[in-house]
Order: sequence, then C-alpha cells, then structure tokens
Amino acid sequence: MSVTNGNRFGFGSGVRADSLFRILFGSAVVVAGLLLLGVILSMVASSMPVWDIQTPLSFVFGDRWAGEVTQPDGSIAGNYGAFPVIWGTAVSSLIAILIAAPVGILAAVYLVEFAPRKLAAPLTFLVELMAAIPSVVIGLWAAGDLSIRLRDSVEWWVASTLGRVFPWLSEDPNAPASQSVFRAGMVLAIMIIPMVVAVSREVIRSVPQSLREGFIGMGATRWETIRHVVLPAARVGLTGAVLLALGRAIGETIAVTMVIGNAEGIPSSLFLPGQTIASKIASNYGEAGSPTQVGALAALGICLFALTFLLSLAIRLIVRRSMRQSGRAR
Amino acid sequence: MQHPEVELKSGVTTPKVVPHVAAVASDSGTAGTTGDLVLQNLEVFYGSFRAVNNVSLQIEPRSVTALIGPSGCGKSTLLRSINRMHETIPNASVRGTVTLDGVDLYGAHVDPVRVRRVIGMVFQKPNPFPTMSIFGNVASGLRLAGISTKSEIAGIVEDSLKKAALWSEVKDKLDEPGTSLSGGQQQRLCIARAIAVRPEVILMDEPCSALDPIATLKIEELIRDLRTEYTIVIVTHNMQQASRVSDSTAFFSMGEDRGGYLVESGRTPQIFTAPTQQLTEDYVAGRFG
Repeated sequence: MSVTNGNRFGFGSGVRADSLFRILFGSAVVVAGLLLLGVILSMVASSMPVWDIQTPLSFVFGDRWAGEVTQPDGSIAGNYGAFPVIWGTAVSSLIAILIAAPVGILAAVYLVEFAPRKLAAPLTFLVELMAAIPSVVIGLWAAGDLSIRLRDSVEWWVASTLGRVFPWLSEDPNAPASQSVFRAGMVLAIMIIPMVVAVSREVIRSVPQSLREGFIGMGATRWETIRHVVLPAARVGLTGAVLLALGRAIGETIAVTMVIGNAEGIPSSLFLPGQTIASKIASNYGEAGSPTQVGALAALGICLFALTFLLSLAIRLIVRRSMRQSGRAR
Repeated sequence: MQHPEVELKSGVTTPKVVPHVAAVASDSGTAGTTGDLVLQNLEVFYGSFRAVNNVSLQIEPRSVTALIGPSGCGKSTLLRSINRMHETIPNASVRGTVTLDGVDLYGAHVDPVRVRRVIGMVFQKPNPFPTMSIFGNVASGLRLAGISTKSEIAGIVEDSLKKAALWSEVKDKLDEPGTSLSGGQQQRLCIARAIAVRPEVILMDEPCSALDPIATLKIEELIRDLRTEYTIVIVTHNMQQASRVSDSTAFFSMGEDRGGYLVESGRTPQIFTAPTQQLTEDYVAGRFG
C-alpha cells in the first residue's frame, strides 16, 4: 500500500489519540482524589453528632467509653473516651514492631547475603506466600491453637520472670487470660514479618555490590561488611520498611479482634484483654444504633486515619531524605 | 640486581610451597617480604566455564605490571583470583597456584580475609563508603586490622592520604563524607584506603575507566610513585595507559572456548614495539579489541 503525498503525516490522529488518553488517565486520578475527599468528608459528617455531647479533646483523652443516655428532655448526654483503644493500638503495634523489625531485617540479611541462590529463591517465594495469607485465616489460627501455645510458653515465661518485677507484665497464674493485648501484638508481628522481610530484602539488595567488594577487598569478613557497610548504607530504607509494616499493624483489624479480647479500659497487664481502634470499630459497629454511637465510631475512624496518615507522611520524609543522600553519593 | 622481567613460564614445576603461612598470617610489612607474586598454571572457573586458561606469570616485585587485552579475555577475573576476591561470586573456583613470597595463597591454612589485607584492591568505579567520612574511609581498614589507638590511626590516615596525593586537598575537611569528593579524588581516597592497611601488593581493576583525562593523569602519576613501595598489578583497557604506567605488560586474548589465555608478556617497551606474537602486534597496533 502506498501512502499518497497528501497525507504523508496523517491528519492529526496521533494528537487526537494523545489528548483522549490524557483525559482518560486524568479522570482516573480525579476519581481517586474524589474518593479520598469523600471518605474524609463522610467520616467528619457522620462523626458530627458526637461533637454535640463532647469536645474532641475529651474524646481523645477520655479514659472511658461510657456510652450515652437519653435525658428526660430528649437530649443526649454521654461520654466516649478513646484513650484506652488508642493505647491498645499503640501498644499492640509496638510489641509487633519490636518483634518483627529485628526478625524481618535479619531474615532479609540472610536471604541477600548468605543464602545460596538455590535456597534464596524458594525462601523468598515462601515469604511472599506468607504475606498473602488472609488475615482472617491467621486470626483463626491465632485464636485457636496458637493462642494456647503462646500463653503456655512465652507469656507464662515472661510473666513468671519479668512479671515479678513489673506488674504490667504479670498474670494470674491460676487464671491466665485466654485473650490479651500481648497476644494481639504477637499475632500482628507474625502478620507483618513477611512485609518487613520483603521490603528490607529489596533495600539491602539495592546496596551497590561495589561497596561490599570495597570492604571485603580490605580484609573484612562477611559479617564485618554487613555491619559496617551494608546496614549503614541501607538504614534509611530499612527504617522505611519498618514504618510501612507499622502502618499495616496499626490498621489491622480482623485478626486482632479475634485475639485481643475486646475488653473496655486500659488493662493493668499486657497479658489481659484490651482493645484497639480498629477492633473497637469492627466489633461495635453492628450494634451501634443512635447517631451519636455511630458518630463516636466515625471519630475513632478519623483518629486511625490521622495516625496512619502521619505515619505515611513520616515515611515520605524519610524516603525523600534517602533520595537526597543517594543523590549526593553519586 | 635482579633482572626485571616478566616471563612466560608455562610448564615450570610448582615451586616449593612453604608449609606455614607466616607471611600471610602475620600482619603485612614484615621484613623479608618483598611482594614477590607468582602465578602457576592458574585456571579460574565460573561453574564449569573456564574463564582463565592456564596462566603462568611471574610478577616483578616493586614495579607496575599491566594486564591488557580485549574485553572478556579474563583479565579482571585473573586479577581478582590473586587476592581471592572472585570467591565472593558463587560457583567461582580456581585451579593452579598463586604464591606470594613463597606462600601458596590457596593453601589449606590460608584465610582469604588475611590475604586481602596483604593484597589490596582498587576498583573500576570509585567506591568510598557513603556512610563514612573521608577520615573514616581511610581508617576503616585499620579498625578491621585491630588498630584502635586514636593517635596511631590519625597518623596512618594522614600518611596514607599523603602517599595518595590527596592530603593537601582534604586535610581541612576530613569529617565530610567521602562521597562529597570529585570522582578522581574519590579514587585517590580509595587508593589511600588500600595503602592504609600496608599491603605488599595493590591490584587495580581499570582504576581510571570512570575518570576524566586530568583525573586519570593524576592517578597515573600516583601509580608511578607508588611502585617504589608496592607491587602493583593493573588491568587496563587503555593501551596508552599501559605504556605510560607499566614496567611490564602481559597481553591476554580469548581462546576458541571463550576462555582467556596469556599470549605473551615482557617488558612494556618490548611488548609495544617488538612483540613476538602476531596477535599482540595486531592488538597494540589497534587492529582489533
């Protein structure tokens, strides 16, 4: 087929196609932005009733989720204190990250630096598979078999040693709790370890081989190279990995709801039942009848959203700092 | 005076291997060690692929030996087998011997980590450690070697930076990151780092290939200066560089099986002006490679 001289360069169909796709892709971005805005607005809107009976400050720092009563005159009085569930979220996530960060990073170091290639590939696949286990399945396992094992091993051991010194680590030996904040932290750790491993592995792999060789070439052992060159060079990315996993731990709902016990108030010991923001919302939403009850849960949602938002902001700042650092390294 | 010549020594019987590893096991700088490096029937493998084929080469102490040849002829692999760096690559293995001052570096009791303290290395791309200062980069090897006295470290760092012709440029900013320097300065920093642990031999793997001509010239001058104290083996793609900096040259090529082999070696002027092999002549004349 020959092209006539008249339309050698076509009739601008290329330009038209470009602008079509620009609109198509652009509108996808707009939809995503509108959704985010919609979520925030709807949360704020449905939380409004609760601000009629109390202030945000008394909500965040209130130590009791007391509920509400309808006064004889028809007005509603009550108090919703979110502090215990914020505490539960913070503590269970902290336990999770204290366990998952070292375990996950060490596993990633092993996968990148030590595992023979034939072993590294299946192990990496296994870790990715672990990350894909639905949280409700982990919750089932955790609430059943794992819970009893943890109680009879780690928890019993900690309670009978450290628990003698620190009351917040003690438990009643005659009636060990079947559900606890500590156990929620352990379950969260199990859930986020694969994530820490996967991200840390990428970060450690991206440390240039030339740096390792430089140090080994001066007479360093493998371990000295990891300790003095690889981990320092990867530290910013590793921080990012840990924060990312922390974000997941803070928001995790179903598995936590299944093992934490959903008890009101701040427990006197980590081995007693408690509650997190996410588990509170999930377990209370079905029974929430009045607009103030729903409003209080929406306010909790805002707290959770703010917490994860601040965390991802921190991740962004750290990543940007690392980009600037590696830019300087060039 | 020892006749300074690199000889092709194929078929020579393996020299008597000194049973103890004192020269390698004790720290470098010991009296009586000269940096006398001999490769005997050396073959390097990656899995079943033979990357370097039966190389025997005697490297003259306290001089510069250049390894030249077309890409893929195994020069870098050979260089890395001298201080056992290639062992960091899985599946790599070696047949034949490398001896330094009579000690077989692949002997059963030799620790490769110690070998690398005696045979230092400078790489293609300058690789200062990004999380360490200029001072820290040079001091890093000393701390590995167990030197912890602050004044001693400071003295060696200054001395090494002076030897690497970098002291005057960095003496007022020793605390800044090593990566803040220019490419040429970074490479001299890496040379200072290698010198600091007092090696006998320094291996250089195309040390100027990432540098501009002026920085290259400085490194070349430095190499000329350093050869009075160290045995230097340098891999280079740049034939002018080989003729400028080296006393001896070994020319490698790729065989039919894609494995590299030594074509010939000798005094640099002889290799460049009167090679005995046609292949060498074609290469140094720029007809291939």
